[in-house]
Amino acid sequence: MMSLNIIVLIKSVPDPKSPPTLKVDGSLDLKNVKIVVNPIDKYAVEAALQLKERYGGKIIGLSLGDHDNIDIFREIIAMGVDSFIYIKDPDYQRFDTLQKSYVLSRAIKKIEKDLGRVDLVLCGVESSDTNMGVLASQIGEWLKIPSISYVDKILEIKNGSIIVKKIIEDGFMTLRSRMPVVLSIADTGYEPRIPSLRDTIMARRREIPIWKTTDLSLEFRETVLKTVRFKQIESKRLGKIFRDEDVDKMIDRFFEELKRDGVSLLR
Amino acid sequence: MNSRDVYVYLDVVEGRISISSLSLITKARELAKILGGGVGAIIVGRDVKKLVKDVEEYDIDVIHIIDHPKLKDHDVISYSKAVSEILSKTRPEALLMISTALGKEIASRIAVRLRTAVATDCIDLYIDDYKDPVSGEVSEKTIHCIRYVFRGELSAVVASPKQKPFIATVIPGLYPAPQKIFGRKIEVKEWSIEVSEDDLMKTEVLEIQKIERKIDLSKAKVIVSGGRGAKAEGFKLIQELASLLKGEVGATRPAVDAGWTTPDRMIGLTGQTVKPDIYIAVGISGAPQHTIGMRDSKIIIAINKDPEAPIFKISDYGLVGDLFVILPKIIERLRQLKS
Amino acid sequence: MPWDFEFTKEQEDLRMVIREFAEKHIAPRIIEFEEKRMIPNEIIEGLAKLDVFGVVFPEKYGGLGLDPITAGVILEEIVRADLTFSLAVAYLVHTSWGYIASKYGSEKYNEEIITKAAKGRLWIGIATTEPQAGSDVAGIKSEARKEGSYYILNGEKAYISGIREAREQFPDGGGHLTLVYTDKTKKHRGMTFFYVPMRSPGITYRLEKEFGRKGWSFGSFAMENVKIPEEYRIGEEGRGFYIAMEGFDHARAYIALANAVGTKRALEIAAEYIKQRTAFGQPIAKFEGVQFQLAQHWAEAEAAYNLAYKALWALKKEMEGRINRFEVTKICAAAKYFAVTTAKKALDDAMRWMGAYAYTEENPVALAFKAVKSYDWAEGALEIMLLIIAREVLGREFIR
Repeated sequence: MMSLNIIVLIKSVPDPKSPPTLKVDGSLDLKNVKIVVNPIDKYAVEAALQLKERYGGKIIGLSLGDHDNIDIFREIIAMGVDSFIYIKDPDYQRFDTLQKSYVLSRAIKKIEKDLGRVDLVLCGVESSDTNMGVLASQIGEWLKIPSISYVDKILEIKNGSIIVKKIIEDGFMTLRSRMPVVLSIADTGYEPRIPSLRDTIMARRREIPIWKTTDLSLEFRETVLKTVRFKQIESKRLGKIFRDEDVDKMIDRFFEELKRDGVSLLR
Repeated sequence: MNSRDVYVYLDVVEGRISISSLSLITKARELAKILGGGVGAIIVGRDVKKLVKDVEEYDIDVIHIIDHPKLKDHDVISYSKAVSEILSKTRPEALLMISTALGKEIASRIAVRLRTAVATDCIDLYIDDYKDPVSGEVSEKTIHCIRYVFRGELSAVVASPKQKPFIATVIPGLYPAPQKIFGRKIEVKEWSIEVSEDDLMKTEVLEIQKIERKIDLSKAKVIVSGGRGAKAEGFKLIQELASLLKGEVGATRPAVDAGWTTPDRMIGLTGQTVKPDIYIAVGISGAPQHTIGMRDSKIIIAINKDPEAPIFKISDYGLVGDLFVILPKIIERLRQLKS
Repeated sequence: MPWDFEFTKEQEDLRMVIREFAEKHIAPRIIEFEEKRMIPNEIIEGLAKLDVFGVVFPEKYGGLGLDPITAGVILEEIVRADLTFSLAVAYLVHTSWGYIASKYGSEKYNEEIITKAAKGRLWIGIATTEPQAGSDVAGIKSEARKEGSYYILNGEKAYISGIREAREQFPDGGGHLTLVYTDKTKKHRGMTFFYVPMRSPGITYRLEKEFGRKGWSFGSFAMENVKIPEEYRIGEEGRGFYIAMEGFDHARAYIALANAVGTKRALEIAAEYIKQRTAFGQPIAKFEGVQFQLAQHWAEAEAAYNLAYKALWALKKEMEGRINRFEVTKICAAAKYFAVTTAKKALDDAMRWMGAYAYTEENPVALAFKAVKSYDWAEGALEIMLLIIAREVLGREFIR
């Protein structure tokens, strides 16, 4: 039996269902924002769980942030990861992807030292807040290991190699890679399991160690990318919405409006 | 030594320079003019020296090229090493790349190698002074990039005032094809690098499944698209409306997965990107994975029974109600108008 | 009682598990429950996997050992998604009567049956009503006589939920807690409760085409010399009536919550509708006549919701041995009475505001309207609820 050591990277983000609003100075109003696990990271968790079911091993969840709401990670534990580590840094809001990926890669190195070996690092293809999609590649570069983004499904692990199906512009590509490798998982090939009530209760009792960045012997501490400000998207759309229980009346008004705006559907 | 040059990464796809990466030259020149620098192009790969002549006539000042037998198949580790070599020696203000999946991976790794900033999926770039909010220090004429965040709910302006080069991957299709300039001598600098076994990703491509694109929706002037709410019966109505309007049928990923239409009609992140004159979204909620493929349509009309559906926020006209009631009535109305 | 109307963090976590499942797998298919007169097996299996069928059963036998309030939170999410009430019935009947079976059943019974019930492999229902006796429980005729280590049961039970499901839909079947006379001379003290597996030889049944809540079956079964092992006797001989009364309190508290939550949800749906439907050039929501009705029903639904949770709280206190039986019975009766009467009035009005649009088999408000009518009599007629409350308030001697 193989036994894989898998690290899944989890990001805490503002709940995509209610994104933060803007303050007058163009900064984000994060005061009453609800923090949740980046939804697409759950697909990475599911991928890891299926690998563990098939090949055996250990899954460690890892997250970096500045908030205190570690309870949001209990859902990931309830899904079935073996342990979860949270790295807390009060400066996190200022970090760019370079710093975030660096800190996480140092943490991965530390875990590797404790475990002896890390076979896979998984994460979601992008986060719902910054949408950069660079984490897997940057961690791969810091750790000097391969990385593959947009993985639809992990097909097989054999003889120290992993075979994955990756999404490309016009379809799919099946690749074989050596391990360890960093994979970013898309939301197309997996369905994140809903944890049972029992597992949810058990997860409440688990300890989630909190590491400080000072525990990680970090050398590189610069943030090079600066966020200047945020802007509301000016909707260039007309936004003319019609609503009436009397469908005929609604369609009448719709066609009238099209006519008034000089829009002709028939050509 | 930082120069005020702006570099462009020219992507080699199937033995040719990609047209979308060429379009970055126009933008690079615009930025370089303000900065007082020049425009450079970077080409890396295997057997790429012959491509220099395809590029010589564009508005570039220098072409940096690395031609190495081991640089193939977009191996992102070796490619990023190659590009980083050039950038570390030349230290331009910025490197512009097209936001392809591979491009982003290469850009990300370059940023780590050079300890510099990367911003992906930029929708625009401009020059402005940057004032540090803490120190008050002003960095004059810094490249700023605008990109969507929160899945398109907001946009963010980012910049790298200190570290150069700033690596920016840009959404394709923003800038026009570059002009050709004749009778100029462009400097061509060839660089060499070591590519050891450790510098290779060593991934092996086992199989490629291309979605048979029998339909090129990018040419359609009218697209009637169906989503999860449409169901199989809805697609019959959608086809009827599309035919009536002399348009094509499109679909979201869930509709394709449910088998209501073929995969080549899929529009969105993992499908086609379209810009028709008229886009009618039927039973489509408006999830970002889909809207990213159609948000630049000239006119967007949405039909959905959920008044809170996000699609209405990006629509010009919206009809709230049951598509199975609305569509037949619209079809009937259009038939009357036609006759 | 220091009032805290908030749920615990753990209860909210458990709520979100069910909500996620319900939004994804239950809500989109409820019309199917009514049309096919069945809950799809995938949904039963999915809920079983989430441990929904073992919420209140002892941990020793594979349950989660949680309290009725937490069980109520889970019921809330099921009702919110399924306004046909079919899944609510599946859950609350199994949860309340399964708990009673576990509490009074033998060790052997728990090891054999409750362990399977907790995993959702087996469903537990209730059978007290007979063709000639409903509210008048003492009027039942079914009987059991002892023969060695078995009891032989004969009789007929009518208007029973879940016969088909207990026979066919769960992998290990299921059965009903059945009330029979073991000694007719002792009247109430001569009744005994038995767990009767629906697959037992000697059971014949027929299903009715119920008017509402069509996803969970409804019918009658006859027992002809059905052999039940003594391990399946639930509680001592002669204690059946009292155990049944206790079980009814559990069921009524959950029913009260289901009705209250169903009402709240239906009012939400109706409110959304009247905001956009117009009459005489205005949204119906602008007419004060409608506003007043909506407001009244909202207030009553809120009160019903809180009274239902108080009844569940009372049951929890009883499990801890800190409240007397009569107090519990009174609150549970009041909760059921109030929630059901509120639900019927509110759903009737909600349907009327929605007009013709609600008059279809596909409108959740209409489906809820049909479902809650069953609570006029299910698990205790409303009039009996009133008699119970009067008895507890005034004293036994005043009840005829």
